[in-house]
Amino acid sequence: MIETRRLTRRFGELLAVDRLDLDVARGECLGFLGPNGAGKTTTVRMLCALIAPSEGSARVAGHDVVREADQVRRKVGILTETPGLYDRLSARRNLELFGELYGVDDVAGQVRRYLALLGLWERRDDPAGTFSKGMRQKLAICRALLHEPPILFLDEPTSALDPEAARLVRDFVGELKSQGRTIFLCTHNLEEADQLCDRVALFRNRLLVVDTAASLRHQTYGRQVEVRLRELRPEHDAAVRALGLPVELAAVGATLRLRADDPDAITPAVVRALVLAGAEVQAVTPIEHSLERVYLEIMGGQP
Amino acid sequence: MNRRVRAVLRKEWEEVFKNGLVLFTMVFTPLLFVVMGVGTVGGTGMATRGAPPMSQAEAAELRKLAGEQCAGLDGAACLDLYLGTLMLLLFMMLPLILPTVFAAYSVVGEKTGRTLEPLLATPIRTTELLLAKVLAAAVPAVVVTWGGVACYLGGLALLGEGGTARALLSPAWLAAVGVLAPLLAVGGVLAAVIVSSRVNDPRTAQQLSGVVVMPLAMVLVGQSMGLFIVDAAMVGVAVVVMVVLDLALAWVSVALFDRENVLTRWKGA
Ligand SMILES: Nc1ncnc2c1ncn2[C@@H]1O[C@H](COP(=O)(O)OP(=O)(O)OP(=O)(O)O)[C@@H](O)[C@H]1O
Ligand SMILES: [Mg+2]
Repeated sequence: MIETRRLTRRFGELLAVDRLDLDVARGECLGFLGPNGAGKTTTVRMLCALIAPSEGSARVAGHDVVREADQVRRKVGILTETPGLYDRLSARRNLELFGELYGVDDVAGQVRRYLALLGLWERRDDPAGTFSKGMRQKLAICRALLHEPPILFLDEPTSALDPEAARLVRDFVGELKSQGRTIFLCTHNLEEADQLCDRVALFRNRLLVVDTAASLRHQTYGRQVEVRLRELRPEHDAAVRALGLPVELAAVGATLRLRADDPDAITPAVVRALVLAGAEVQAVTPIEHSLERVYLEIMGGQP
Repeated sequence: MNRRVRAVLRKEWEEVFKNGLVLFTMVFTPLLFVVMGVGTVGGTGMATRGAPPMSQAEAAELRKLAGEQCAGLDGAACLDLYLGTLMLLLFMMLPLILPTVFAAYSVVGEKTGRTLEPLLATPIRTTELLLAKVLAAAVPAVVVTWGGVACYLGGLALLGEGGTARALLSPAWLAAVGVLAPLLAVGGVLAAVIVSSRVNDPRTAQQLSGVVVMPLAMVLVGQSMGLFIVDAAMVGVAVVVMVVLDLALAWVSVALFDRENVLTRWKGA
């Protein structure tokens, strides 16, 4: 649904997006992660046919973002970085305007549907200026959905929201994904990307890596297993080393940490050796690294 | 007018007229002009009616100021007509002042509210957006101008200056109010739109685009000093000049409202 080929954008001397090659499949949710100024918003703007690439090309929903800009605009919904509501207009009128602009058939019906879905129906006639940040964000999300776009660009949908509002929005994005929409999610929130996205792209002016979160964790840290003992004695450690398996060992208190390419193959032998050496095994736990550590590791290595 | 233009137009009216300052300007300025116009012309009319006729020298002096239009009129009627046209010139400022205020608040409001990006993400065309903005500001300004002129002339008639009011309804002035005023309004909006894209405070935008009133103010001063009087030829020339000017301003504005321009080069958008 989204294909970019050497997509590049300059602002004068500044290279905001550098030869981005990215493919997002129909129904996929891609997390687009990167620090401030990485060029995420610039990328979204190019893909929504708001600004033109300096070089390279992109197709969105099968249309070229430069030559068929109008079709692209009809097919995508965008949640901009700031909600950008008309504060003096009511929630309903804000949405009705955009329903008309997108050429929606049943404007009133769509407006009612989304206001109700996001819990704003009771406040429909209040000026948007009186809304809280969370409500404003929800209203902006309604606005992006009125024309039922198959592709959604969400630029930091939960930043500046309190945890509860953020969860609501996150759940709603999950629902949109389950409806089969393609979602391009810019975020700083790695948990969010982990929860919602099929793949994450780490981006800082250029694409550093794109993969599933699980695979990124393994690639960066290998897979690890922790074996907690009642007491860790030198002979336990020695017994494991004596096995001569391809595994790295580290002791943390009474816990032995194993790192290997394929822990599933090694763990049984290690546990058996420990038990035979007289160790009392209390727990064997696989370790999941947070995406945040992976992110910091990759970003830290890429100035 | 298509659906998108209508939608933006409606939004503009709902939004900007909720701004007290814009509404106040739209209502108060023409009201002030009507009171001034009717007061000045009607007042002098009443004052001169009982008074002894002008001296020969005075009448000659006035004729020099008022020129052609006074042909065949006595001194008092000439004075009324002279003042009456000056006031009518004042009304011609309305289509310049009013839409500038409206457009300044409309465009700067879109910038400070960051509403332009979602708007430009829709399939609206640059020309449609601009057309809606121009109509939104120009139509009320023209309507208010026409209403103001009607009240002015009606007020004169009520104060026994029916003759003056009828004399003011010359072809030249009908063309000025009927054709030139809308052209001035469009020019005023476009100038304000261009200025507003460059500044982030509606008052600054309004003041900067307020300079469009200057040429008209000069005409007013020129006529009051008897340097020339507005006649059909002059209105005709002004109409042609304004058509050309409006087209040029529209061309600049369309380029300025291009998505790329708005999102990457506008100050504060
Ligand atoms: N209109 C512009 N003119 C000049 N430079 C710009 C413009 N827009 C963006 N940039 C620059 O391009 C780079 C990328 O900006 P962008 O807003 O895309 O980053 P981002 O990843 O969205 O950051 P954030 O997480 O802060 O939203 C930045 O260095 C920014 O200063
Ligand atoms: Mg951004």
